[in-house]
Amino acid sequence: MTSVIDQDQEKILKIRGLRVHFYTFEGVVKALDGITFDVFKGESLGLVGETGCGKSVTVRSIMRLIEEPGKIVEGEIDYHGKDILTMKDKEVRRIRGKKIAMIFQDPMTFLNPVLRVGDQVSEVFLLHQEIPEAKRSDGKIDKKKLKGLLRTKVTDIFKIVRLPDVEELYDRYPHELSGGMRQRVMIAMAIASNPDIMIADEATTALDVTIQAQILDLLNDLKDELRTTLIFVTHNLGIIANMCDRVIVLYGGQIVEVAETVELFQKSIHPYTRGLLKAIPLIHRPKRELDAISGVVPNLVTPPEGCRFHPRCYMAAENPEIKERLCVKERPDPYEYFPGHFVACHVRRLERVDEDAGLKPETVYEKIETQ
Amino acid sequence: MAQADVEESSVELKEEVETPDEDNLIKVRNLVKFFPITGGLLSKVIGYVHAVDHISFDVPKGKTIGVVGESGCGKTTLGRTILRLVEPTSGEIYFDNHDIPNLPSNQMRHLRRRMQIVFQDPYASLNPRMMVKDILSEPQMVHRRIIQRKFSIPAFVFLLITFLGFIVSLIINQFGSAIDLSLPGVWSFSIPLPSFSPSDLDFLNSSLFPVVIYSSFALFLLFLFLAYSVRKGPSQNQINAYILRILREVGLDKEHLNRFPHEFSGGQRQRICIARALVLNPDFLVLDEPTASVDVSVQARVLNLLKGLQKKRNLTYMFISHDLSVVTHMSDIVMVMYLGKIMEIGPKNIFTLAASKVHPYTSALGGALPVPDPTYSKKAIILKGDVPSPANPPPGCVFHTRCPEAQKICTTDEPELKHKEHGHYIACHFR
Ligand SMILES: Nc1ncnc2c1ncn2[C@@H]1O[C@H](COP(=O)(O)OP(=O)(O)O)[C@@H](O)[C@H]1O
Ligand SMILES: Nc1ncnc2c1ncn2[C@@H]1O[C@H](COP(=O)(O)OP(=O)(O)O)[C@@H](O)[C@H]1O
Ligand code: SF4
Ligand code: SF4
Ligand SMILES: [Mg+2]
Ligand SMILES: [Mg+2]
Repeated sequence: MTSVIDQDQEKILKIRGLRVHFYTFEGVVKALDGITFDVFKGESLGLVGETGCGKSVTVRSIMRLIEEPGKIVEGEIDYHGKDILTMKDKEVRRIRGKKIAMIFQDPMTFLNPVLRVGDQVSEVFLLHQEIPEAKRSDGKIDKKKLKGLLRTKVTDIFKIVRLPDVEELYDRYPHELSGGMRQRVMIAMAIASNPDIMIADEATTALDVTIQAQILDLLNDLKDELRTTLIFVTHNLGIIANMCDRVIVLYGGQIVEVAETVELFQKSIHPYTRGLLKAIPLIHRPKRELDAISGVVPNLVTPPEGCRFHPRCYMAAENPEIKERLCVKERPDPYEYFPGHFVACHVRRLERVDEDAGLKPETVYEKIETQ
Repeated sequence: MAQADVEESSVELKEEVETPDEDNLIKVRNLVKFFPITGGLLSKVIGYVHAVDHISFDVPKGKTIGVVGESGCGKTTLGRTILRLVEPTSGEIYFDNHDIPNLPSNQMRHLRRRMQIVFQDPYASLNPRMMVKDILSEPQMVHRRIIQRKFSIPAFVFLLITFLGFIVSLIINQFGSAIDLSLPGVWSFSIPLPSFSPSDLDFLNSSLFPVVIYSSFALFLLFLFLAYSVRKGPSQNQINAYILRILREVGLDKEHLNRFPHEFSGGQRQRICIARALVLNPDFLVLDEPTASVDVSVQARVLNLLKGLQKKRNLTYMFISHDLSVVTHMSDIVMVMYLGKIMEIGPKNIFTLAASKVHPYTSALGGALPVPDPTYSKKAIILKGDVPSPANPPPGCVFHTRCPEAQKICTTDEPELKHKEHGHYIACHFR
């Protein structure tokens, strides 16, 4: 499942300095504070973090789906050499749903309750694919033939997502299906357009563990068969460990750590990631007590200056001098701690630079600053 | 009737019955809760949801029983039925040897103080218009009202009797010449009365009489004081001090007393709910998915808090969750439910035991859990299909439609919950 990512691998998405604000009654919610990362072609990338850390806003920005009162105030999202954020609406629509497809947590908000599920999936085909077989010799479309062709296409794709009794299912309405089946219909709609990138935003969160296992298994197989890139958004570190090649950890609208999955779980560097991993109970390794992170997630209207984690950070508390000078003032930029393993933390960076140069943290820092 | 529809599938915990009763705070036998399904023009009952279907188990004092299963398997209904927040269809529930379903409501009210519930959703279970101090003093007020009635009725009866005795003795005494209130050797005092009577009623003036009068007067004062003090109850200061102590126990403080629920984060709200459950000093808590709506860092603190409280107050928990790792972390005993029935009761590590040692559903659940450790490898059998409707559960073994090991017998015969080894029960023909 996990493979070493070749750094020279083709980058399908390049996200640079993404900043998103929501203009609400309480004030401006600074939801994303300059997010930068790459998505490699064919990889399965995880976006993990606690509620409100900006996972959904990040992936919705990729689809340019940020609506009022939100606004992408800064940033660049490069897809095949073009910036999605400055594209014409028409161009975005051509990408959205066709080249980049999304699977949401709650399919009921996405499915039309009064249309048969089969017809809804066939619309995706009509929208995104030419169906030349349905054309008559005079160039006009044979409606009846088209309908039959679409039905076969839909039932075929239902079989791919392992739905049962596909012929009968075509004529059912969304509310007649179980949660797991609806999610399969959503996945069918996502893969119907043969996308480059599939984004699953908490796609299995509402499902029971046995149904979740079915859907995860399906997504894993589809990813291999269709060779799409998969972006997996979840708060569940277990899903990340089982599904992703690489992980991005978010906290309060900032990226705190990026690493390959195995490395992240075995050698996490950032104090937040470490705290998160220590806080979860493990079924195979019982703990007497869980190590909890103190404090609460930041209010993003008035987020902490500098590193947004500093009010809760034990590492900053252990290094009061660095905390005063940097953590509370400057946003730490991701630093390549190990090859391909980025950490956004002042203390960690200084410690690393210190190790390399054999110098004291302050002097090293001064040296870098003046470079 | 619902009971009539069910063939006798009584599941007896024979071995467990042998353990002495004092060790088990909760004993449940053949508990059934069916919800009627109505339909048609006349809202006729057309069927039943088998929410809890012949369940038997024990919970030892001071221990935690974890209840796991997929949504709709009856976990919440089980917890609420034990507390009699939902009336059982049939079956027996004993709490500290009290027969819960047949307890008169006044005794139930008294017992309810000792069994509390913490709900899944801390947003919905707190009144948004009440400040924390009112939320926490409310159950105490309710309880105080109960004490008051219990104490003031006998107090009132005693008052009446002593008072009447006093009056009667005065009237009788009219026949004497005077009411002699002398305490021999202390003082002598008598109220002279006009005497119309023959002197053979003089026994009233015997030396015992003043003692009776004085003691009845003392009793009168005592009960007056008692009745009064109970009505008055603890002062607001005493209540506040008590609430503050509880609030500190759950990790909140004085400054939180005068705030409304919306001013708190999800984790803090759940602490308030836990504090509210603790106010009446219970012995048993049903924790219904207490961390399902909070993030992992908050969850860790709530779980640590619950474990700490249990140790300190010797609480018995029923910990309901669909999260296997949380249940494993919290429980001493784990109970696996499927479609209203118990599949297995066992030690907390059943989800990591070899598949041959546990119920097929238990090992499927354990295999389905995504473990946050990329190096942990497990053999996962992915169950097919969905959970059938609890309104129409499959015959035989309820799990047979999804069981990878199902045989012909499973479709017809329901497996008994059999004792395997100490404290480990499995309901499967092939285990
Ligand atoms: N429509 C909105 N209006 C106001 N604030 C929003 C809106 N959508 C998201 N936010 C804010 O943006 C932040 C990130 O949200 P989101 O990306 O949805 O988090 P998550 O990581 O849970 O998916 C949150 O603090 C949230 O309050
Ligand atoms: N008040 C009720 N009326 C009718 N059906 C109910 C009621 N409460 C629960 N049920 C049904 O009983 C079954 C068990 O529900 P519940 O105990 O809430 O399961 P769980 O907590 O395990 O998810 C479900 O099918 C549910 O729909
Ligand atoms: S930058 Fe400072 S506050 Fe932020 S994680 Fe590192 S040590 Fe902690
Ligand atoms: S009794 Fe049969 S169907 Fe039920 S769990 Fe055992 S093998 Fe599976
Ligand atoms: Mg989200
Ligand atoms: Mg429930």
